[in-house]
Amino acid sequence: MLKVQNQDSHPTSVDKLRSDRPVGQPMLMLDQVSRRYGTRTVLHNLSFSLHKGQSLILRGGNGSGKSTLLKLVAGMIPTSSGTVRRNGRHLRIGFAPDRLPKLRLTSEEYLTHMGRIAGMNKVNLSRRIEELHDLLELPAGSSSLMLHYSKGMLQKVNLMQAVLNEPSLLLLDEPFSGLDTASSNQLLSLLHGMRAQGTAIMTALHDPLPSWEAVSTTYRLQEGQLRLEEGPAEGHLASASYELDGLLPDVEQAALAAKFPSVQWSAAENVVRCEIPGAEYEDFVQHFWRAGGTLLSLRREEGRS
Amino acid sequence: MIALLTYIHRSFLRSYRYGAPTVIYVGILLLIYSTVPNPIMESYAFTSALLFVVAAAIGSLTIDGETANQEMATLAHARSIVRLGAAKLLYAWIFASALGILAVLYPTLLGRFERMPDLEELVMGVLYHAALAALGVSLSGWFSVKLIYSRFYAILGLCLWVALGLGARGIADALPDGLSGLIHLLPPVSLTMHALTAYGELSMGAKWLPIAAAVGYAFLSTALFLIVLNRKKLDYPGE
Repeated sequence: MLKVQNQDSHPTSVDKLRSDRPVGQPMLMLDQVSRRYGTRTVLHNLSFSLHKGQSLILRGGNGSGKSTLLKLVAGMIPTSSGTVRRNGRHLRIGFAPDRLPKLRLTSEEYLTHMGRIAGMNKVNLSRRIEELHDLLELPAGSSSLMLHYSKGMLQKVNLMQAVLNEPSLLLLDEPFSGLDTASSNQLLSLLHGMRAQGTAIMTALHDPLPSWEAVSTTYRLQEGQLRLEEGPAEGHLASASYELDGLLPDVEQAALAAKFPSVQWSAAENVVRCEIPGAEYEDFVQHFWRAGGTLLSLRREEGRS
Repeated sequence: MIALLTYIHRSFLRSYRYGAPTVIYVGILLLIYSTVPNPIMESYAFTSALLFVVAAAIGSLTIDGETANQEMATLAHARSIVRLGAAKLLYAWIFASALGILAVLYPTLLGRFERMPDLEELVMGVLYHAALAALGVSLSGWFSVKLIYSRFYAILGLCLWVALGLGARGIADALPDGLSGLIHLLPPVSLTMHALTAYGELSMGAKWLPIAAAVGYAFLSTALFLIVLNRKKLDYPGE
């Protein structure tokens, strides 16, 4: 259960979303955390916890403290007061800052260095780098230095480094900034997949992103405090449907079809398309990933079921 | 640590940040050894003192080599700000020490000295250069944008502290007796310069003392810097 407490309010339990099902100890717990810069208090007595597989969206205006909160959670900056507790000393944290600078390294060189620093073995790292390049449609093995990359290409490398080591806690600062529509969809698929596999994800976002909001709890940072944003009503959620394109072995397809009779299936060559009612979306995606499915794209359609 | 050093090495070389200090140091070596003959240990006194300045510059360029965002991404993978900071300073010391080895071997191999140095002189020459490289690098962290937000004031502070270190002997003489103890706060670079210029007259213990003092100062300075860095983390405005 995701709990949020501000200084002036009672603890708030948020259990309206099916994504917020706590499993065991929280992965992350902030207790009365404040952050001041000089006389200005950017974050004021924030308390919340985040469990495995939960997703939290942070919204707020420029300078509201979204990036500061992400850096605090990542352990990049100290708190002015309060404590940040992470479950386990070896919690793998992926962090994507709002942008990566232009470097005199190729994307493959940069990611190889980051992976080696994180302790990944060479074979797995090389495979993972290739997989991420394919997924985000950036040419692997290119001799072009990041110095010559566009903003969107740099953002892809930034996201790749964040998810490289398959983190347990993923912190993303404006991850969709600079990405084209196709890349945004690919990233969204990746995030849905990681969350379904248990990664807790905190994202600072500006733009609306319905399919991610549907599985996340959204907070607005205002005057240093977190305020729960009303998500779509249950009825609204149920009225949406999702169209998932992916790869799934035949045996698993049959099992999933039996378990979710309301899901509509179609196929083109080896790619399956699933029309999923909003109410079953969460469970279906979890089972799809557990069955070893590969998510190619995911779209939210309003008012179809 | 090896993975961090490899990354810092490639980034440093590709950034060409090494260019100015390396070219200046090598250029001065070429200049002073353009005439022969040269005294051995007195020449090492000059090149090691110069390396102290160059090492401080290399340390500064390395510790501030990444932008704030780049450093956050690196830290997320390294998982320890102490390991990351230590790796940057260690790399700067290795790079500066390589220049020190060049300063010892270049005039020896090309016969620019009054005679061929013996083994002890060569070994001590390398050790003095490496110790002063460590001393210079150890100062750079304190004068980085991580602790002094303005790069201008950070460089100014580093230059001032390096200059005070070089002129410590004269400053000690000018200070009143009660305050002369303050001189021990300054990097002990003048101690090594004096030892090298009077090398032939010193006992073996007196020859090792300046190396021990420089290494001890560098170790303490680096350890304290890493403790402060661990508390402060990456809490600086960036650029």
